[in-house]
Amino acid sequence: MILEIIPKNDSYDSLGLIIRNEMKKRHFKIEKVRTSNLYFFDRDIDLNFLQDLLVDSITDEIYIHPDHPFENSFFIDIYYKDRVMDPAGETLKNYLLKSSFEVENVKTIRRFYFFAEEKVDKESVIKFLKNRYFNPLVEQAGEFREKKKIQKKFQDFEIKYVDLDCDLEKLSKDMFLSLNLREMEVIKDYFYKKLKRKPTDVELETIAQTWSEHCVHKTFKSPFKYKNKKIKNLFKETIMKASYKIDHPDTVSLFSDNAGIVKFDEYHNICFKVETHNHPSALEPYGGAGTGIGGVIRDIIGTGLSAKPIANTDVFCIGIDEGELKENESIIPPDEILKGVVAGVRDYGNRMGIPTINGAVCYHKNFLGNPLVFAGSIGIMKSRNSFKKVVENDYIVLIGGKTGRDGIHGATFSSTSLTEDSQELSSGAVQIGNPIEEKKMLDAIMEMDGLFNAITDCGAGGLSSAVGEMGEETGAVVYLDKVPLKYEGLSYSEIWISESQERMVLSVPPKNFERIKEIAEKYNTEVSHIGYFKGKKLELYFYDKLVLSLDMDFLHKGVPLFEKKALPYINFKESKRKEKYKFSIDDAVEKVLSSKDVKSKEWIVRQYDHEVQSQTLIKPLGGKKHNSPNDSSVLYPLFSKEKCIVVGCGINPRYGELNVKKMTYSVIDESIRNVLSQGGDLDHTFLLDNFCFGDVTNPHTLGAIVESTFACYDYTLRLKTPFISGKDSLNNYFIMKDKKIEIPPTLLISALSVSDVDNIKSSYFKMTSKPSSILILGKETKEELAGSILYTEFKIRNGFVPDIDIVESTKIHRNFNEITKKRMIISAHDISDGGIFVTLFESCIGNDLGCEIEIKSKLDPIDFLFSETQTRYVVQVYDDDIEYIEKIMGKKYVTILGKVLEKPLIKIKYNTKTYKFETKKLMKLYR
Amino acid sequence: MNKFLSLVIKADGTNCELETSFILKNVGFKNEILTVGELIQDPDIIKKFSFIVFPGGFSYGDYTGSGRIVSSIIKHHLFENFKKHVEDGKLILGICNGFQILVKSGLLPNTHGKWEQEVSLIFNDSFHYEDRWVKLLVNKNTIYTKNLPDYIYLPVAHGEGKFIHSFEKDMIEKLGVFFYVDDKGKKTLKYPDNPNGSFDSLAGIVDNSGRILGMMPHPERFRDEKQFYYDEKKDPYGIIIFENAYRYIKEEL
Repeated sequence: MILEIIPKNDSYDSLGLIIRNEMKKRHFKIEKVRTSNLYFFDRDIDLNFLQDLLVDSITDEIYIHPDHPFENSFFIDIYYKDRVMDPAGETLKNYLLKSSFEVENVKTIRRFYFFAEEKVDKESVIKFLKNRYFNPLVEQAGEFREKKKIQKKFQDFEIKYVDLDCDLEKLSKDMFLSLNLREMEVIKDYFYKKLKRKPTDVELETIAQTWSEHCVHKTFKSPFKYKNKKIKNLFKETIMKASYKIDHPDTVSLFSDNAGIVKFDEYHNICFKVETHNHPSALEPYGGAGTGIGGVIRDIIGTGLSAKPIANTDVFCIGIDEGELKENESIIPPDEILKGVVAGVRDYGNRMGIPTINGAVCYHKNFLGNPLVFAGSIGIMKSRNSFKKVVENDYIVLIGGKTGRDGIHGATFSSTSLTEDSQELSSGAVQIGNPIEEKKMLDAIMEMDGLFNAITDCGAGGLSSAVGEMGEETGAVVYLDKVPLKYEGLSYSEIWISESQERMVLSVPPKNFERIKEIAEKYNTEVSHIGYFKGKKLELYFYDKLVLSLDMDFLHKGVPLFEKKALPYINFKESKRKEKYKFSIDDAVEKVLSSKDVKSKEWIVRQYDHEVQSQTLIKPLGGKKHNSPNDSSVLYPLFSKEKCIVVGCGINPRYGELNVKKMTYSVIDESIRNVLSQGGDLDHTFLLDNFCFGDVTNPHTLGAIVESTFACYDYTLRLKTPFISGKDSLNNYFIMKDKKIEIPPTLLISALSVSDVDNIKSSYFKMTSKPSSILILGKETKEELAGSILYTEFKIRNGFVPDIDIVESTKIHRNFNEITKKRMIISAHDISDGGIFVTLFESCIGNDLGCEIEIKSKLDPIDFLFSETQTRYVVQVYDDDIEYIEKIMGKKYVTILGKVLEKPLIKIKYNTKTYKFETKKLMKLYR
Repeated sequence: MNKFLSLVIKADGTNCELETSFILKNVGFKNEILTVGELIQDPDIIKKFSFIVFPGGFSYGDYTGSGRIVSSIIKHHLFENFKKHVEDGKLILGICNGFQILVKSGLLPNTHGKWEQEVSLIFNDSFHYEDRWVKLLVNKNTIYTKNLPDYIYLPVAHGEGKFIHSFEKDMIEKLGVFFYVDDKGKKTLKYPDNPNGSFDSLAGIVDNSGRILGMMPHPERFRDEKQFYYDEKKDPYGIIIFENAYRYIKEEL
């Protein structure tokens, strides 16, 4: 049966109105658009019962098909393709089953009715809706028709053995293994020489997954040769080495668990992890970003003996379309990508009840076909829960959603071309998450505290990687036929490597299993006992037949690593600007404030619940007008009166393109500035790295990785801010017109600082009763505009990329931190994208104030206002304190700039000239 | 029996239960969080409690309309128990998703006495979720609001908060508790001061008895003056609403 629910009148249908307005703007001759929801059930269900569930008696009307509401219009249905997760249908189905209705398939369909006087081409309407209101990869547009389902029942199966006496490279390609010849040869030796038999298909799949770049990070762990220097293990000799050398007393667990763990107070620790989800988001922004957030939340739930997620972060790198997409329909336009990923984070994060509190959006044309989506999550845990250990003979327990064909061969699929008829494949590769499934699982796991010995999430690699990792010491035996399935017909290897979302694996002492089951039942989530941690090997059974038997040692330590030859990254040739600027200060202000990078992100921030859990102290936007961006957000847990967590980040692909080392210094500096300006504590600041680089077969890209990791080592060691966790995502490039386009080297640094609630200050100016002044604290402003917003906007390709002397900058941060700890700051905002002018503007708008400043620098005023010299803060302090501040900072690092004005006006004096800008007018550019 | 025993009701996807429980305990209530499933198993348990709170979140994902599934569960399994609770003079508060549940189950405002849905909360005019602080005009003639100032500030965070009704003016004056206002304190229909397009700027209403309150803004998110969105001293109004419930139970029950 199909039921259609539609708002009774036009005024209740705000979506219809929005679509009509958008279409009118694009000159469609459409009078009206109305929207409805269709629900398909494969069995008849009591209508009264359904009516209560689906219909709002005040605002809705219900039609039972074939009856439907309108005749004088045409309609388009949008619905998920078969086997793609339909979260609404799934949730409804589960509820119906719970209420004792027999039903197997529930689907939800969105229907749009179009009213027009003249005939409108339906195809052109579908084209308009594409990527705006549906994604052709996972959704169908047209008329929904009930399909007769052919049930594939489980039949007797044969174990598939694979012959390795063949062209191994071809075999790797045909089986989507992504292993190179030397790796294949190692595998062949293991089977043919040691085990003296052929491998099964699932054995090869398991090795391929365990050894994939995604799981084992082959590049970062490899030996490198760079400028006659031999590096044995890049990661261990840079990032990790700095953290161990710093030996911070508050780090609890580094680089070993799903997330890094640090101390919060006597009884609690916090953990933080940031992941990337780039390729899925390029294909399906909504689903990609949603499952990205869902995955990193599970990382937090799976850290130690489980942490409670208390905040999420998100950072997007988006392309710029300079006309290329006119001829290229396979790439989703940047604006739609951004809307999609924002909606994905919104719908997943908000439904999980986790505030999204910090983020950034940056743009570069080389992200066009390969946008970057970073999703982070922070958790809090009892100190005693910081470490996990699988105990021999524990039950292997799977908790959460059911297993389907989701995500099988996702990685390899994404590199083949996407066509309409690749539905079977694509529906597997691209996934839609179901946050309610994950929320139920989270609630249940929180109540299972103390009942399990270890936990990890099923992410990339599914059960294969989760169980394989957990059983490394004890071994594991899994009965694949015990895994609950979404539908019949999955093979043993599909069950094992499926990447179905919202699942985790627990190691449970047998005596606790009954209690675990009761708790799961309370929260309407499922647990299954699927095997045992025992036997030292990894063994899989499917209906009593052994289908996989591998040594843990070979699986985890067998991957051969090869020396990578890296060449220096080709840096931009810096040179002094020779000509005079051909534009005025007014032009510069206009261009910079309306640039995509600088422009207000309020439309994004407002869509995220950033206050759920009632722990948000400093919100992303503040001030009486609630529009002034704070540098970072601050959380204070419900139980905490004194301590808080400050969260910020730094990223800059524009610098990355020009000079990798300087970019690395700059983004570390920015992340530190962000947390310190808000009142963070440098002595308790911890960092996360996320490297997103291009093609690793390009030796210069490898060189960029070497240069960046060494720069990380140098600066963090100096700052004494250890890395606690990180992740790399390599091979970020796309092919357009047969040209390989690599993304600019991009490093996201996320910073977390544990500080005192009383040190926290907001970023915007305030009117004070005692006299106060605006100061710049930090480095002297230099002509450093290469890669700046100003030069990017005016397409100027010379100048210098901002440089950092790490000794000097560390000293500045340390001294600035002294001042914030003395609570002398009224407001502080760091200087980053767009330079001093943007910082002043953002500081003024919060409380609708202005400022009057005088430029005393030798620089051209345009250079002074828009240079992006690093390690600078704009602060407002009481005049009485300036002397002391100069003493702490050193006079050289203090510039008195001017005063806050009550009138919303930015006045800039330079020699005899005065420039005036009304903030109200500037707001129009910025909004 | 402890007269100050409060209940927070949780469904799949409810997500504000812990902070709501936290604030209840801080103003002096004892509190239990029970799932809808546990209540269906033992509906009689409801009589233990003097104050029932439906917290915010996305019950069952809100996929078939916000709060719909829980309100249907109430109608089918728990209605008599809730009716008894109200008739005994006890209190119910619905916040955000909880407000949607109260309205759709017919518990609020119930002006006809028929326990049927009379009003609704539909998609914001913007058609998307929105989190922001709002200024509210307070009707101080209710149990929950009596010692609040004329205007208060609280955050809203929802996608379906547009209040629609077909009441006459005098009824609105009677039922309306919180109204969205602009900077100058005037009721407004304009975005963003009225974040969703609610008729008559309504942000919260009570029933005839004044003992059932439903509101879109989140009082539990203003539990400490430091949470205010800019640097000005304001009382954490959220606490006062819960304290008033406590006082009522202390004095009247």
